[in-house]
Amino acid sequence: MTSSLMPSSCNLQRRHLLGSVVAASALQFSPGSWAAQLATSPANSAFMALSRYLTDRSDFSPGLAERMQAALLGLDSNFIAQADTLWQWIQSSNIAVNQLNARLKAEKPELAMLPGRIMQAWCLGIVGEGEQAKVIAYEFALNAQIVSDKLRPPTYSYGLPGSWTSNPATFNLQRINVPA
Amino acid sequence: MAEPSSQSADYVIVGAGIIGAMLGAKLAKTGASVLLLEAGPNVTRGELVGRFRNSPRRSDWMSPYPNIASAPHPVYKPADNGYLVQAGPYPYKAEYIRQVGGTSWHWAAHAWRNVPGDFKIKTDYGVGVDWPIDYDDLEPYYQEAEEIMGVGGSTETGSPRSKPFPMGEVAMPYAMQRVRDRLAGTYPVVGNTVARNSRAYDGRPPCCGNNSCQPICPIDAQFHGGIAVRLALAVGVKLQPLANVFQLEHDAQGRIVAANYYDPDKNVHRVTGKTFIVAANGIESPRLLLLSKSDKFKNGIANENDMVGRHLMDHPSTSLTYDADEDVWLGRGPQSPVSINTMRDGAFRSEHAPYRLDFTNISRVDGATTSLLAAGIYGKEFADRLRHASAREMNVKSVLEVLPRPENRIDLDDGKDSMGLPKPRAHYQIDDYTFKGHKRAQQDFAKIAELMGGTNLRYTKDDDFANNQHICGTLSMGADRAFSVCDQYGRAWDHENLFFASTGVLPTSSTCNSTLNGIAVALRTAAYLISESGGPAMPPRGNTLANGKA
Repeated sequence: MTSSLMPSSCNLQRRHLLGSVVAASALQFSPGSWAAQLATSPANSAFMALSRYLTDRSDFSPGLAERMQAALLGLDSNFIAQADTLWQWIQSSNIAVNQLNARLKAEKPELAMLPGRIMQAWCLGIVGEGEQAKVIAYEFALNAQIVSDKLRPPTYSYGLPGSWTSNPATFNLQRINVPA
Repeated sequence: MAEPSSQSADYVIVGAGIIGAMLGAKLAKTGASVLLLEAGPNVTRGELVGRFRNSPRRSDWMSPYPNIASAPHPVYKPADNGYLVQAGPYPYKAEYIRQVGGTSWHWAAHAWRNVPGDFKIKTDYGVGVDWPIDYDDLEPYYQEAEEIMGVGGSTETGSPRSKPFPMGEVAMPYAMQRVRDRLAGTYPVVGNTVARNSRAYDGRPPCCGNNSCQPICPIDAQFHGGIAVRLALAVGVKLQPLANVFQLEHDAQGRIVAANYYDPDKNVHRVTGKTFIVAANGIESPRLLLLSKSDKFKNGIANENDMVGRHLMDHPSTSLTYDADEDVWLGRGPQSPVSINTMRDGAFRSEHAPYRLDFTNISRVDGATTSLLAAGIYGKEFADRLRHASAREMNVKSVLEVLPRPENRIDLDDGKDSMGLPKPRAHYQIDDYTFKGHKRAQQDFAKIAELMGGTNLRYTKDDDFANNQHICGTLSMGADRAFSVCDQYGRAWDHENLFFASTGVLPTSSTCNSTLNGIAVALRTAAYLISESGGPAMPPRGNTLANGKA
């Protein structure tokens, strides 16, 4: 398997550490690649703007966003530059999201893979293809969130025995919030 | 050079899957020593759940079960590892798990009995072969297996019973109730016969709707080979994992004297025993026999009549996906809860394959996500269409019988696997009998979709049969030694102390998942072995047919 099996407590410590480093503007102890990522922290990045635009949502977990961006960068080291270019073009040309793929194919084919890559990352929790695929999220992937009032993701219990006999049109599950 | 091993047992069983483990446990309870030799590793349920959640291919049910170099199994995604060589003409991309507990770690827990007609399709319909036993010969062992595993289901599936199920049915999901209610009067939709707890049973909890039966139940609410091994160990069976058995040694009379295995460093270990049982699934079992060529047995063990590996059968499936006209939300409860069983037997069997019709309750969410992304659907439209597909998409599939044909077979390829052993090779085809059954089933698909107000109908293509990993026929039991590999007790014709316990022993595939059939036949083999070695006589056969309950 290619994905990390780190327990979530490790991620929490990493986020706190990174947060405090950014606040203090101290980058001395970070290796080169981390420095590049911290310099373009996801929150105000083109990546997040594209994420909001492509998904029509704005409720992203900062922790997940960091890990998504890191994985997308790992897949292609030009990711941040490409995301910048794409977002600027979308804004300046005022492209509606349902026109995006057609316009990209016609006018900027070199960026055509980017929207699908970002959508796959958020919606399935997976970055990359084939042997290079990395899993960043599962139960908190967007596709699970979109249906979380009706379904739990597989391997998470729906409820007590027989609870699934209820009419889903009128029976809702309690939504589980994505941790920050 | 084989090192002398301290390992020896009254019964040496090759393969620690659900069948080998349940057979071993029954033998061990008589006080005999039993040793299970398993090629693969021991893997825990927690590891498997973790691997599933972190898999980039969640719909690939093999992805939590890694392939190890010292006991390779077929891998098809993300790339085919070429272990199961395809000779054609039709692909036979069987999946199986070489680890302690075997392939039933990732099953839907279907635990069907045959229907009585399944045992005599040659006599009654002029196709296939008759079994050397009938339904009532097997009936006591069906019951025995169901009580060990914890099986419940409908009594209206065509399989008569002398005693009740050990437990009631798992609650039917809402989506399946709607199918049952809307098809009533046209098709009787019934709960599946499953080894899934509807209540706490044998120290394991009831189903709590994890909807991940395949590839892994996180709570062991469904029985599987891992549990069977645990039960076997608890009654004194010994287990040797990472033991890749590559050869059976025999004496001048053809009695098996040893099983030789490779450990992961390719050291050879020699295990002796009184009785040897090959229970290594329907592909690895014939493979082992073919690998065991000698001067006396040039075709391999138990293969003087060239029947080993032949009559390969499985259950091909075709299906229809459609959108129902109401919100049903598949994915709530177990994955495979209900089916239609009215086409399992009848006069039509002389013309086309019988089949069951399975309604899936597997969540549509990942599949719909992948389709929408492939179509470039983004934004609010993505969310709306994902919810719509998740709420409305349904699927019905056929589970078709395949007839035993000698040219459909498992044999050895010239290519070697990572242990230097010849790879298994599959020769397979879907014949006209099965194809006509598929076309007949498609008529049912259309009617079912109509009754569910179905739109957006998506039929699988005529040349696209999905496989169900129910590997049968390759060690067929029979009454005529010219056309079978073993007798009705699973004993090899030419090797007095060699028995087979596998779905490979089943001489026809019928229309139901093969596991309970394979287990029941193996428990009958155990009863025979026990009676032959001075234990209690075999129990009397069932009398469901005599009571007119057929």
